[in-house]
Parts: sequence; structure tokens; C-alpha cells
Amino acid sequence: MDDYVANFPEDIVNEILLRRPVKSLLRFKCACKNWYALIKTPKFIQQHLKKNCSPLQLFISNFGDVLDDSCPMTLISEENSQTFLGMKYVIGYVDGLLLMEGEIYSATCCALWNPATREVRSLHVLSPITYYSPNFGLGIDPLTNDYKVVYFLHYEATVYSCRRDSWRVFKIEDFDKPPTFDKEVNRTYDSAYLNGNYYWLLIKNYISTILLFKFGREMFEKFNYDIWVMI
Amino acid sequence: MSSSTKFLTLKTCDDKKFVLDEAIAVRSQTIKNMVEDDCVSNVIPLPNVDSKTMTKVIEYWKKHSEEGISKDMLMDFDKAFVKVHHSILHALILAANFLNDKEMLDMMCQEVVDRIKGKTPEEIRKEFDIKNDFTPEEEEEIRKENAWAFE
Repeated sequence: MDDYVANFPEDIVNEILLRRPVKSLLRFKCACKNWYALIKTPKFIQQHLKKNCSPLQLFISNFGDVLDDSCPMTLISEENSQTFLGMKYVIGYVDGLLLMEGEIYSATCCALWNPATREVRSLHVLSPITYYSPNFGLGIDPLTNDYKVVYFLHYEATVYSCRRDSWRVFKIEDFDKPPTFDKEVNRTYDSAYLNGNYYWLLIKNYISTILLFKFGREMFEKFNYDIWVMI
Repeated sequence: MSSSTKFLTLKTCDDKKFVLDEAIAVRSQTIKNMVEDDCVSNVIPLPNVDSKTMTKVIEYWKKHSEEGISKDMLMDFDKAFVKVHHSILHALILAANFLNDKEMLDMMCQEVVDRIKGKTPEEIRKEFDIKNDFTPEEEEEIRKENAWAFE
């Protein structure tokens, strides 16, 4: 009887696992199917994220030679350092997840990188090869905790969902009005992510517009921003 | 102690009775709720806790209710208190959970967290009495996905 160990209710297992670092959890996924499922749930991941401060990390992007495709990005932490080849820019950051952009044979490509779990997911951008690179945004659907990547260029807009692991392409027919980003907007001037929305500042003929994408409902909105901007 | 001290009788699942000062017993939110709702008749049954575990819980409650005890003394007491066989530790966690003593539950859970540091899946299964329900192929696949975590 002395060696008898009672099974814990799920909320206690949850509480114990929340206090272990990512590396332990990746090992503990092997313990049994219940633990595997628990550790992978978005709810657990969000709780773990809020409870644990990630260790201090230093990110180095090597801009030594921008034309050189091999310039690596390096992440240095107390435990180890990870180098990522082939990607040039970090274009989005949320909850420790990095969205990186690079070029392969002059076509834009991007990838999601989670340095905590060391997972990398390549995203195949559907956009045609073009001189202008698309405008990207990374964010999270606040209701489902699904991480999503959105980009637009000319008349095309596309959103990628990590959970679906697929892209959804917006077509002109999908919009009541013509899309808010059009051919003349080939660059944005600033962007920001806040609370499940991504914002871009667009400027055309000295008039500025804010375009926003809602990651939850997967829709674009725009509002005019009534000041003159000097560029 | 004042003459108004009230005592409660707690009965564990193995029919042992513990008479305890109400002021100490209400460290358990479960008991406190019963007292506040006037649900307490003569004896409070604790169907999920055995007497061996309850003795430890009461030892903890009494120490933490001592007047004038220093923080350092309590810390030393807590440190020694959690150094028990893992079956007792687990029973104490379940008791603290049932009695709803958040402070105690928190401390005991932290001890488990510290004990499983650096452990392999095999050791974890033993610690938590978990049956491995993966096929060897499935397990190998998960290990491969996160090979660096096993280094």
C-alpha cells in the first residue's frame, strides 16, 4: 500500500506541468496520450506563456551583405544558440513566435520560427514573383488562440492559419467594396500589432489611411485618418 | 485561548476522529464554507482523506497557526515537511486539493515540480503511476519531433 500512488485530477497535473520549462514539457509529451494532448492544447500553451518568463535571448540579424542569401540570423540564449540560414528579416513577432522573410530565386518566402520549441514551419507564399514584396502581419486570433499570418499585395490578400495549416485567399468578389489596398499602394509606412488586430499606415496622395486586419474574423477594415502626412 | 474557542470533529475515511480548534480547521476553505453555511452538525466527514494523511495535514496547520513563529522557522518546517515518500506527497496533494487549502497545495505541487526536474518519460511514468499507452512507433515519432529535448 505504501507504494500506491493515486492518480491526480487533471487540474493538478495541469498546475504541475505549467511550472516546468518548455524543454521538460517536450520530453513529458511522451509520458502518455493524455499528457501529450494536454501539453498541445492552445489553452495550456497560453497559460504556460503567461506564467513563465522566457529566458533572456539576444537576436542578431546579420546585415553584413544584404545581397548574400546566406547571411544568417542567430538567436543567443543562456542555454544554446540557434542559427537560421536563408531568412533575411524578422517581419513579425508575437508571443515569442517569429515571422521571417527571405527570398529564394527572387521569390518571396517566409517561415515561422518558435525558438522555444525549436520548431520551424515554412510557409509557401502564393503571391507571384514581383518586385514589390508583400506586406506581412503576424498575430493571434484572441478567441481560438490560433496564430495567423496575413499578407497583401496589389489586389491580393491571403491569410494563413497555423491550426488549419493552409492559406485562405481573398478574392475581389469577397469584398463588398473594392479592396482597401490597391495597385497604387505598393508600400506601407508603418505597421503595428495590438490585441488581435494588425494595423498598417497607408499613404496615397498625402492622405493617410489605416488599414486593419482582424485575425479573429479574418477581415479587412479601413478608416481614414484625417491628418496630412509629410513624407 | 479564550473560553469561546470552538472545536470541530473531523472524521476521516478510515473512521478516525480528530478534534480540532475551529480557528485552525478553517484553513481549509472546504471546512470554512461548511461552517459559514451552518452545515456543521457534530462531525465533519472527510471521505477523501485517510487518518495518516490527516495527521500530517493537522501538523502543518498547527505549525502555521502558531503565534509568534518566525518566517525562517516556518520555512525550515516546510522544507522538512515536504521531504516525504512520493506516495505520501501525492496523498497530501489530494488531501490539500479536497480540503481546498491553496497555500498547502501550492507548496506540495512545487515539491513535485522540483522532483521531476530533468526526468525522462520513463521516470515520469513511474512517479505519476502512468501507463504508457503509446505504441513504440508512436513514441519514437514524438521523440524524433523533439529530439533536442532529450539531449
